[in-house]
Amino acid sequence: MRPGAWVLVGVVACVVIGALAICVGSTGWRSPWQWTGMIAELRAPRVVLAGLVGSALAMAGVAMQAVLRNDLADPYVLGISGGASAGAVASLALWPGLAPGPAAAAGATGAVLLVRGLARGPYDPARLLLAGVAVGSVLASATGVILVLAPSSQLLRSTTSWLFGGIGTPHWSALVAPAIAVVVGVAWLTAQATRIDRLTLGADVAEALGVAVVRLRRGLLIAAVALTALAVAASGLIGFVGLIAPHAARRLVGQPHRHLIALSALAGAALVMGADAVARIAFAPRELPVGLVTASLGGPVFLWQLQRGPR
Amino acid sequence: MAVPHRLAILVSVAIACSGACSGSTPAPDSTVRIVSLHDVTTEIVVALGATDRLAGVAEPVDIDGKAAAAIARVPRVGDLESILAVRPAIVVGLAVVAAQDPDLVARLRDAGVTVHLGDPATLDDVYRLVRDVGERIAAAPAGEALAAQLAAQAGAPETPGPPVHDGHRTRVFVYDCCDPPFTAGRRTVLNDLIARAGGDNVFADLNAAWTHVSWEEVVARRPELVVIHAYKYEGQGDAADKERAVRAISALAALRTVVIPLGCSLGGLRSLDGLARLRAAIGARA
Repeated sequence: MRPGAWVLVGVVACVVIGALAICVGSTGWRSPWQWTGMIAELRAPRVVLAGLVGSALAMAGVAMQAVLRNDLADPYVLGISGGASAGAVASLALWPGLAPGPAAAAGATGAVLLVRGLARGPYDPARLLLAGVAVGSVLASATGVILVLAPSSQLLRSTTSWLFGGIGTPHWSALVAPAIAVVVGVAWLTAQATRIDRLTLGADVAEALGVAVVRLRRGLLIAAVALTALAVAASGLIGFVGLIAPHAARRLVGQPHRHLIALSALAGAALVMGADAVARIAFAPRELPVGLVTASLGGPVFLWQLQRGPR
Repeated sequence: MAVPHRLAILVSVAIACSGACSGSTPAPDSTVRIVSLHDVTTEIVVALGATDRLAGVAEPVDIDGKAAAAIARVPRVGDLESILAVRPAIVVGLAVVAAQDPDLVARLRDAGVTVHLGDPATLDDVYRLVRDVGERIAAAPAGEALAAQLAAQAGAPETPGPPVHDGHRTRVFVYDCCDPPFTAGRRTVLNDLIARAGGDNVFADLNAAWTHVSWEEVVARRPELVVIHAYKYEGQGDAADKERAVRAISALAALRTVVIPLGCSLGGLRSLDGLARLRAAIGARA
């Protein structure tokens, strides 16, 4: 099948999975045109946000893999998860009444800036990754210290639900910013597709083909961090989506980024919408954090990728 | 809070009377050195009149004001070293202590210290805990008296209005925190308090203590009263934020709420205050 046709299939699959995710819930099946409070207020905005978060994480994964030239890179490398966790936990400890999302996004951005600062000099993906591991480790320990010293047991409960990822119950108005960010992200990354293809051939080849490598890398890194911060702010840490979705898309349309970006975004959306539906109904009336569902899928995929090794 | 203070005074008076008036309650054994690792057991030990035997207490998190004043000069303990340093004969607390640090409990027992950890899930368990702590700290008569006092108070019709209206039991949803909501299942003291107050916890079918559920399930179970589980005993604490979170769901926006502080739901002396608050809220139903 042609790559363009796969993107079309992806759109249809996304719509079908989204509609099914709206129809099913812990209280049973409801038709999507039965637009009651249950569907309109509790399920539909949640499913839409799940799709946006999945798209953002998947595109961030594509961008990060291109920047680091490593198929095993995901949006949370470079200390992003550690920074987001530290920011969120600090926010929950200091201002328990506020949503931890903005602080998490700030923590993630700060961590990447710190990693980039520590790994300054000639561009070296390995150096960046190692700096990311070190910064992530320090921030993880800071998170642990806050959790141990914070007196309120509520902090632990809030933090647990946040660290494992959860879409929550957003209002429609909360979807505007993520929707704009995802649309802009898809448009910008798709516009850079040819340059990204050349970058994957190596910096020297890309420069010889007229690509401003430093500028492109910086742009991709900013896009990856912005999309990840957006996803983290909306839903906490949802693991492996940025790894699984690009790989699933790559198997269907190959390496060229023109279609890979769009199909990855659709695959990410479908994955998180589906995972969130499973999280809602698997142990109903209890609800699982959606990150646990995506991680249970992502673990085996990650191991499979490790077997294949970096490209 | 007036109610727990009244309760503490009543309990103290009851214990004092049973000892001083009838002469049937001997003073607790003054040689027993006690360490309490939880606010609930600290309050019980203080109410049993054994404050002077407290060799150490865990740093209080949410403790009754009277008990807080009584233990102001008691050394704070936490890790194994600090506990053993005060040479306790007995360590009391709740099961959560062992859940958080099972090695600590094992090492204390290895060191020859008697460790008693209660795990109250109902008011009956609370009475049992009071008796057990009394026995363990050589204050069994005081423990019996306090347990009887609590049981009598729980049964007393001290709150306005009947708990049950025409056979209808009020459906109660407990909101602790978070999105998805964290709520009380069957194995919680709050579940028992709600039932005793004439209500039904809408998640009583969950054979769990505290767990996350979905807002969708909450709405589908059509609660009539929302218990806001607040994390500060005195004052508003985080209750206002939690109430806002509940009212953001349109199907729950108009429901009545009642604030139950954490200290009332842990299975200690203040559970009676929680019961009184619930009875008042359920009894006030239109």
